[in-house]
Amino acid sequence: MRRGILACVLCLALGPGSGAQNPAAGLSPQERRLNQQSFEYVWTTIRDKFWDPAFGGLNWQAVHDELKPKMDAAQTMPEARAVLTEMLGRLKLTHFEIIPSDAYSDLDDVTAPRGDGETGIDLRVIGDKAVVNDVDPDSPAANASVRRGWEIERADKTELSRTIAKAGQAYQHSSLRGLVLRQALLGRLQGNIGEPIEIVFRDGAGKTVVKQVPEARPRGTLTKFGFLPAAYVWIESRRVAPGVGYIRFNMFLDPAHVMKEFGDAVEACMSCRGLIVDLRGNPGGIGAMAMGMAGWFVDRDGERLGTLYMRDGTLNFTINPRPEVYSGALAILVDSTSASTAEIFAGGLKDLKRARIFGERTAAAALPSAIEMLPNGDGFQYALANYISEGGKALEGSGVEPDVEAPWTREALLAGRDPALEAALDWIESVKKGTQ
Amino acid sequence: MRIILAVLLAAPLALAADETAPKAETILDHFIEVTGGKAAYEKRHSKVSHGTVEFVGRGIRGQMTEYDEAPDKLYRTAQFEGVGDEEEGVDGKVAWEKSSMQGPRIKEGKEKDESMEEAMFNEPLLWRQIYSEVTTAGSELVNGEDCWKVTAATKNGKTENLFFSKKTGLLLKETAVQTTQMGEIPVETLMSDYREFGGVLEPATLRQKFAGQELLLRINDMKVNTEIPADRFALPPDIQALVEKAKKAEKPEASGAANAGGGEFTVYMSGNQVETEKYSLVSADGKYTWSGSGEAHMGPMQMKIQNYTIVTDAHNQPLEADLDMQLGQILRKVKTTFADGKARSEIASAQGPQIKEDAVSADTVVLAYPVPVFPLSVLARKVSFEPGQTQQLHAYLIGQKEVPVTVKYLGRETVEFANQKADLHHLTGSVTLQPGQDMSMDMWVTDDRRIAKILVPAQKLEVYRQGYDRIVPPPPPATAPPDAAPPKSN
Repeated sequence: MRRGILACVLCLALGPGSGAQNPAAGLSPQERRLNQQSFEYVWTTIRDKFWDPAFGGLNWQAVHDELKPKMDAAQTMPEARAVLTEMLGRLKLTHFEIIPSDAYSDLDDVTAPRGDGETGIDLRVIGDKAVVNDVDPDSPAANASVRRGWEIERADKTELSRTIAKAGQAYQHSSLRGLVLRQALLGRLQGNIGEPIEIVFRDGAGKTVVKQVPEARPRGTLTKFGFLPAAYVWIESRRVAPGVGYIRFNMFLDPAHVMKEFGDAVEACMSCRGLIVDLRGNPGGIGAMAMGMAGWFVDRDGERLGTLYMRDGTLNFTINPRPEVYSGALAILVDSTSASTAEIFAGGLKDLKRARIFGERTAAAALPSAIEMLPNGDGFQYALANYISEGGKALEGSGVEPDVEAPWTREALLAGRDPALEAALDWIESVKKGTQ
Repeated sequence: MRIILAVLLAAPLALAADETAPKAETILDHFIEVTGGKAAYEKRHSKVSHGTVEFVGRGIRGQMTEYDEAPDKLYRTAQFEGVGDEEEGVDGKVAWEKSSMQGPRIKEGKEKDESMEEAMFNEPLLWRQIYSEVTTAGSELVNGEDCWKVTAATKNGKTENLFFSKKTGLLLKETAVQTTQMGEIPVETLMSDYREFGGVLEPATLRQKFAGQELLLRINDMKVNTEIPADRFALPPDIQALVEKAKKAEKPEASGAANAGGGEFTVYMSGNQVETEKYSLVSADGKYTWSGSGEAHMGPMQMKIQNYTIVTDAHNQPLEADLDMQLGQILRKVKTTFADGKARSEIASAQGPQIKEDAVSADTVVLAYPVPVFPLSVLARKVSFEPGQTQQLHAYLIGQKEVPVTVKYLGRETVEFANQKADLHHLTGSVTLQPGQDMSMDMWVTDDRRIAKILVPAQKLEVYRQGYDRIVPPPPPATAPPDAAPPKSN
């Protein structure tokens, strides 16, 4: 009989959202009612869909009974969100969170996004310092001669050391520290497009450098997927050495564009000695894209990156080999800001012994999730399933360990070097074409 | 007269409170009648549908277009915001899918069978072709409407539950386990908003629930008997490339290896098909590589063998083996190497990785229990055709243990199949799975050592190689009660 369409569009959402909080304001009776409905919806969804019916030993009814009065008493939206966040926090897992409604920006005028300007700086926290690890070549930061390896001390009025100390303490022993800090600090560098932001750096010689860096439209294409906040997505590819291709993209989103460019880059490099896929700074996105990308590197039917375990069944992250598959050396670069679908891709190919991993351990935040809209207008992200990589390990909580540790260092960045990329190139040099 | 006619129309299959359930065949035929009748269906030979598709509650929406053409062609495309194009098709021979995210692929096995079934034009008319058995299994409410439940077994071993309104005869709900590339997924489909399209009633709204998601499909318009361009159903270039690639893989001579054999087996238990598998055998560099895959449905147990590969030396002694299978929800992946009288297995499962070492004999045959069966072909190549001699061999159940195997050659005999009579070598033997638990079997083998047929009487198991068709025993004499009263039209 007719079955209609069955299209498994699985979404592995990004890490914690970075939307601004609503200003504190009293709630109207309707807002209270919608918050209470949202509370019940979140609690019921977890009760009915969490993959472990025992909730890891947590008494889920008791959680409801304890927090319901707090939701009823919430006077502001931030207070209401805090109750829901506390509820989800009891699960002690990633991919369970509330996305404030104002994280969903107005997309009617895509040529002039408001408040979403960026400088073109990327950063990592090395030790307890925010360090520039990349500058987009066509960006205002590049035009202002900002250099890799410079420490960022202040952005506008915010002393970044205080942000690092506060957030760093909360995530001191967590694999999410790098991811959370990067997102929090990059948020401090954002501003309104066209307006400058004053940034205070310390250069390689220890001197203070003050720059007025204009905010510009972010790099990439503005993309919307379901109830994920809209995001700018880009992909780049080039040769980094004779016979070695390099592909990098910032998120597993915008499949129509990213998958095509990724495929074109691989196909243009079929005779390359090696190919490097750089997933550093990639917080994830649509899980199915990992399967599709893996299909360019695995030529055997029936292989999979891993398996989802839901309450009612399992789903395989099956790889579909492409008509022509790249058979040369494959290196994947990751660090503590590589999360979710990035971990599934890297971890699965590592377990299949198809790729060698370079860099730092990933964020350990790989759970497939869905995002729905709550009655109060906030987004509700929840993990649909547990995920076990093909080698038998859960990526959530453990992450992907690199085969070769090559962490970011300030010294290397100041010298214009990229340790993980260099390690990957050295390995490719040592491998004959077509074998690993 | 009009009032009486209205009463008759309102009470097609709804009988009195102590009603007797109509036969399933009656319900299915009645569905054809209430949706337009056989003649109306047969007047249609093509359809073009346009509609919308939405993942409910997820903010993911798209447009959908579907082309259907008799007898067995289908092409469907959906464009989702933020995702891109999703396409799938059947050209009568190849079932395929192409996703902006997961790329192009050809469907195989049960998934292919299900897609081919879906592509059958005027599918409701063809239920006798699709189902081997249909049974009325009581009644249930569907959204408050009382329905007859029909359980239908498809010829490829699947079970569907169909819920037909007692009042209208329309199909309101279907539940089935659908085979996808990600695994077997239980799907519930609710049909509503029946409208007439080219003389036949079809549901314009379908709501599918699966894997914690809900897909809402609405058909806004459907043009019937419209001319569809011939290339609409043509395979896209990358699908065609995959087809060519698969053909080349079946002919490994191009890569310098020799195609030393291969084939397909079908397994029956108590007369019902429970498993299909295919395998290849390649000879290269002094080694034999046996590689196969399959799917099994044995009662409630479902098994998918993603891959089972055994590499032996030129003397059929094992060098390595690799098993990747899913039994229900349990995944099992085993990689074994053989050296110095030991089998060293790396076992990966949901419980985590483990290493296991077992002592094995040099002549051991590597098997997975209970399926696939093709590795028994290695045994067929090793045994002697010396009559009357009992041969003691061994089998290593991959990742588990080695067990003794006894084989005896009984000579040549003519074996009758549905499509031929074949002159085959008869071997009889037993495998001791546990002390005191011997599993006896008979095997018939061709001159070039290919297994044509296996019988395991204790388990009512029959195995047939493709080309050696099973003789279907005649049905027992009918002892069922007389038919129920003929249905009244709606």
